[in-house]
Amino acid sequence: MDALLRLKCKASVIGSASDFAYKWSLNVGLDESEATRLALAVDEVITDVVLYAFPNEECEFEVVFRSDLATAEVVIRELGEPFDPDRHHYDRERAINYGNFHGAGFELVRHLVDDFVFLNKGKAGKEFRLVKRIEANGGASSEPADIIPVSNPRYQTATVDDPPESYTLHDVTAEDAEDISKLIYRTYGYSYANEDMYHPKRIELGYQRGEKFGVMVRSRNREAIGCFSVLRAPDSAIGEVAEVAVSPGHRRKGHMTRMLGALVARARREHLRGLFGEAVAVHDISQRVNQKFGFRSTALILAAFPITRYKQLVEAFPQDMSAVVEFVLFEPIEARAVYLPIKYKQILRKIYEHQGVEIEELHATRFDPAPKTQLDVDIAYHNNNAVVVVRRFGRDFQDSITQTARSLHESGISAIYVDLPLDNPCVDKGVKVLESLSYLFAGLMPLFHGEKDYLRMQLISPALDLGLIVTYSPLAAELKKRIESEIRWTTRKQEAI
Amino acid sequence: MDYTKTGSDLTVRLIRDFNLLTARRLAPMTEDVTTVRIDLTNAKIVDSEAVRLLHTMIRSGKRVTLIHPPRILTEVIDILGLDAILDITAMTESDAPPTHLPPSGRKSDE
Repeated sequence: MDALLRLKCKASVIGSASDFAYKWSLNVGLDESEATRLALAVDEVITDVVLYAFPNEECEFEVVFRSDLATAEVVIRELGEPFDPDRHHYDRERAINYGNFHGAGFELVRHLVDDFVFLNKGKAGKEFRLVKRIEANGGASSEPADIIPVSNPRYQTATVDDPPESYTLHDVTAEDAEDISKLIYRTYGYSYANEDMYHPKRIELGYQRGEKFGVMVRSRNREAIGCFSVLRAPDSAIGEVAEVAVSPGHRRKGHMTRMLGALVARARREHLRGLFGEAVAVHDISQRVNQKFGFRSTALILAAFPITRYKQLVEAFPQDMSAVVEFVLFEPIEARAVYLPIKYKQILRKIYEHQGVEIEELHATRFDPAPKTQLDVDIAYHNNNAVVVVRRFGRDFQDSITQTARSLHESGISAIYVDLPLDNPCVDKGVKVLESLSYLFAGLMPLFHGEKDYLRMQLISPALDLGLIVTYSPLAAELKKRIESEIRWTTRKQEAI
Repeated sequence: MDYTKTGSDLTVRLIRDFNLLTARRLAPMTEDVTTVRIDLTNAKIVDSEAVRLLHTMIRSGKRVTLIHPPRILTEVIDILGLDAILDITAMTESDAPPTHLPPSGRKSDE
């Protein structure tokens, strides 16, 4: 999160908030016209909150500003009276003939931003999410604008005979950004899912801001032929191994293994508590390399990456791609005191055992939820999925999670992952609620938010053929089997209804 | 905002965006005038509440002139499909310098 404004429900806050939105938008990389559009969208939503959400001016609401290299997102959260923007349509004729501008503000918002999501979380409140994509050249473009021109992505496919010892490995600096971008293009063409990798400026910014660190392999003539990064988690001392590429002509020389070894060593030096990878489960190459460095499977995330993002795979692979989550935790590994939900006790014990984590199993004496549920929603707009983090279980948990999922589905989000805190005595109740709503097991996410362990469950639409998911470790295979049996059970239950 | 009223003519110069707050302050001033000049030099944003007020003024027969409207206003009018009734080009005083209100008639509601 970049900034949080807590505002009184007064007309006088509108200008201040939209001014801040404008300046913040410029600072995160939007150009003047796009910053103005986002500021106007913020103005319109806040105007609606001020006019209609609350009965008096003393009530408060929040505006959250957050950004990454490619996205500027403003979230307006309020706990005012129930509302649904989809039921308030603007009618041009009504405006012209009768001066009735009902719904005009939201009509503007829908046109001014790239994504507009309304989340109704029931009693936990409502959220309006305004998203603008940050283009490298400031304009809208379907292809990356500052892509390095390379004549043919396959020009390096001829195998190079250089011996492994002739290659050098070094830490990535911001100056390597252009070489990384070229390497990604030579390796993947335009099929790589993370568009940031085609923009040297974004790569450079990521390293300058310390959001990631990485290693690079160069051939004897200093050509970049391999790269691999660790992306630091925003709210926990862990990192994700990602953004890997090895130039086609230089493969089968152990570069990936060597780079991962260097990343693990650096992560230890930087006092991270662990690393994880989301290995795409259409092959087992990444999973095999991960296992070599002590990564152990903890979860199987279905439909983690939409197939449409991987242009070259669309015809070869008929469904969204799933990912095996694998963790390695570094010494000293602290014991955990956790409430293991009855249904998943055995499998969670086994995952913890593979991670080398000792657990003290706590037993809830009574179900004592808070009055209100608190959910944080993180939407990956490019991947059409969202992670819902349960910060607090309330008596309204079922209603909140149902409403949130409905809003997300209505916004085009096809996969929802819910992270339940294992240090909360209400977690067993939470699992039962999610099970009743057809959520499936996904696995364990160690240290994933605020350095606490979470159980992940998932709701996927449409259904996937799990037979197409490739796993390497026996534990990953067991996770897959467990999810398959839950799908069968859920299907039978739905047929019976 | 700064404003001056001469007979049935009102000239206002906004010092910030044209939004709900500004529209609420401006609306009562326009009730007994027939022409309204609005200097938008300092406005980055003109929102739907402001457009609603412009529409109300025009429907009631007032002559409304804009000085230096921000580019986003044209986009707002296009999105809302109001270009037939709110023709920003026709309403804009072309090449008008920023408004200088005479000291004697100048007032401010700030």
